[in-house]
Amino acid sequence: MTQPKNVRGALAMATCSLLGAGAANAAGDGNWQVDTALLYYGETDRVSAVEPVVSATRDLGDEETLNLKLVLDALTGPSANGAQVESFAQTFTTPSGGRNYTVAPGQVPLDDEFHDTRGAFSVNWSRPMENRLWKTSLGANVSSEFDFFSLGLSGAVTRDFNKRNTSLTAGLNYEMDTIKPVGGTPIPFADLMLPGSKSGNDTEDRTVTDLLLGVTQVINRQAIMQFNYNMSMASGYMNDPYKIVTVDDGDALSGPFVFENRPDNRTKHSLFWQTKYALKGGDVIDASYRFMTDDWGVASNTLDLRYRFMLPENWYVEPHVRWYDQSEADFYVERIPVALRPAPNDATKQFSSDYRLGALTDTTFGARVGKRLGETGDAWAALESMTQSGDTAQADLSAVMLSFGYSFKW
Amino acid sequence: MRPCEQDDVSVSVQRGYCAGRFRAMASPCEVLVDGEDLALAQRITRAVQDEALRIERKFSRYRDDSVTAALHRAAGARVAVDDETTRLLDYADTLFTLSDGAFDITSGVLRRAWVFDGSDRLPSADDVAAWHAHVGWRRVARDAGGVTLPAGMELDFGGIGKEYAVDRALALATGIARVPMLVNFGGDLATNGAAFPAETRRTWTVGVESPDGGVARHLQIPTGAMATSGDARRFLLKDGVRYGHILDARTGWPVAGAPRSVTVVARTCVEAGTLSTLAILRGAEAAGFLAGQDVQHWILW
Repeated sequence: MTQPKNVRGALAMATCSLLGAGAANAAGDGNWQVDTALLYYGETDRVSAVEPVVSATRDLGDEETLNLKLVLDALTGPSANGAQVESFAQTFTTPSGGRNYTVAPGQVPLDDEFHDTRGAFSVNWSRPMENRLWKTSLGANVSSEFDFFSLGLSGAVTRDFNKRNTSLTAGLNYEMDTIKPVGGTPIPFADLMLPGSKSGNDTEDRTVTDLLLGVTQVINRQAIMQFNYNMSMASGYMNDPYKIVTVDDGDALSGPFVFENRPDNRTKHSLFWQTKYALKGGDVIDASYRFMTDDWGVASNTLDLRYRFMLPENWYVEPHVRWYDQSEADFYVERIPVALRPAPNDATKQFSSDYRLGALTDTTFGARVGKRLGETGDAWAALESMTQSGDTAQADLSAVMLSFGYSFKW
Repeated sequence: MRPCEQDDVSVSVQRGYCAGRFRAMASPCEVLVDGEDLALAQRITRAVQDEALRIERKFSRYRDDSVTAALHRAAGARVAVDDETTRLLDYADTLFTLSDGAFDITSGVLRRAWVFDGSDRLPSADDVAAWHAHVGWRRVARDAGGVTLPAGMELDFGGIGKEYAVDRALALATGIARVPMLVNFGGDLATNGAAFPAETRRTWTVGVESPDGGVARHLQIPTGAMATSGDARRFLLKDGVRYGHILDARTGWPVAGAPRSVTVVARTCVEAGTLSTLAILRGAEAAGFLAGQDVQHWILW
């Protein structure tokens, strides 16, 4: 008889001809589910970003899917350079070494040479195995910006139990980053304002390996819960090449400022829990909590709550609240006491005054309004406000986020 | 439970879903619709029933107004057929090729020799041969829009009709409302579970019956279709040898060494039904054949 391998292919074609457009139900629609969004993010007096995102998923039938995603990010505006507010004027050199800029007394020192455009593209393919209880997915992603390039691969396996009410996932992600600091890699603890502060290297590398273990559990017809554990190990160039640390020599003159230095690796552990609960009338509560701890001494908590109120005619309103706090890294300082100032290139010492490694709390609240269109379409707009505070004035900022989204079948 | 009886249809609300039931194609038929919207379930059940009856009447050999009756009456003359009939005949042609002639929709005449009533009364070789002389898809002439069926030959859409009706009915019903639903005509079923929102991870649970009674297994299908070939109740048993009711059209006799039943899960009911039938036609090699098709399946020997 006809070789078995040829049968299914010939059958698929024949079935398509027979059923024609009517076969669009169980067979892969051949359509793409497209989700688009545009985010505007603006910090008061600091960074602004515009970020369009397009994600398209194609149902290939038999629970096999392919997802493509493109993200563009355009950032402008100044960001903190690591130095603190002082009662005297301070002068700095830009990373490219091109010019100096001066910050008035009482102002947060901000470097305004910071502007960048980033593009990232990812592909993810997922399909069940012959034993339908198992599913595998593979992904690849690439991200590029002026001073940074990243390539990543990921793979995951999922196994269903209890009539698909329980799902266990194990995943692995491997990423290789190349950093090309503007003006060259700085020498750790070299003086910003003196010549010879750059090492002569153009590029640095870093790898990040992530391990994910997760369980998703359907509790009942209304509720579903998920727990994840994630371990992330990064190794290589971990410094921010544009951040400096003030040396506190007790005088009322600008500087000295030295380039920061961080450890060569970082291991993070995080635990994540999320519950979605559906109420009568289509309302949904979505709550999640994440705890993270790492070997840099940073520990953080994130609590996120959303409540979707379904309104008539498929409209909805979804208020959102998010609260985040973190403790400071072991090597975080506001200023380095002059007695502890390391010699340039001393790899045994670590200091950073990047506020993102300091103690922080931020609160975000806002709401989203949207309308569900058809079976999978959605059009929405969201406005949110974020307020952040930390140990120093660098960390105090507020931001507004305005976003729009539109999902449709194509 | 709030039942609604109209003609021979009953639609009732269960916990979380509605069930519509009626009889068609000599089988108990049901439609399960997610949610508790009884009015919608009634519309959907009516649409499914209408489509099932339409297909049954159009291709039934028991009705004077069917396509098959027109072809048989023509006794060798050319008959014009519509697009749907042409597509079904194209499909039957593909199956004929894929099964190397074992599946043949002109083999319906053999039912006059074979009566599968569980007894030991096999037909004589002469009887079988006499009717087998009227079997042969290659002798059916087709042109664009018409069929010429030699006198004495018959077309029988029974082998693919029910699965085709399931897929068509489901597509029509999904066109009415994109809610999760399951259409089941006597065990050949299809779901549009793709309508379940992905994050809810909901699926349909289907129980597969064992020929010996009881439920052999439960199956979770979020999306897809299922069909079974073979029948525990239609067979002949003589001298310890079981003759299943699926005939090899090339010989006119039941497939030797065939499993009692084969169930396949595939994207559409037509595909599932075809794979299960092709598997049975391979007799003792059914398992090997299905292993190479990358589909969920069960074989009961």
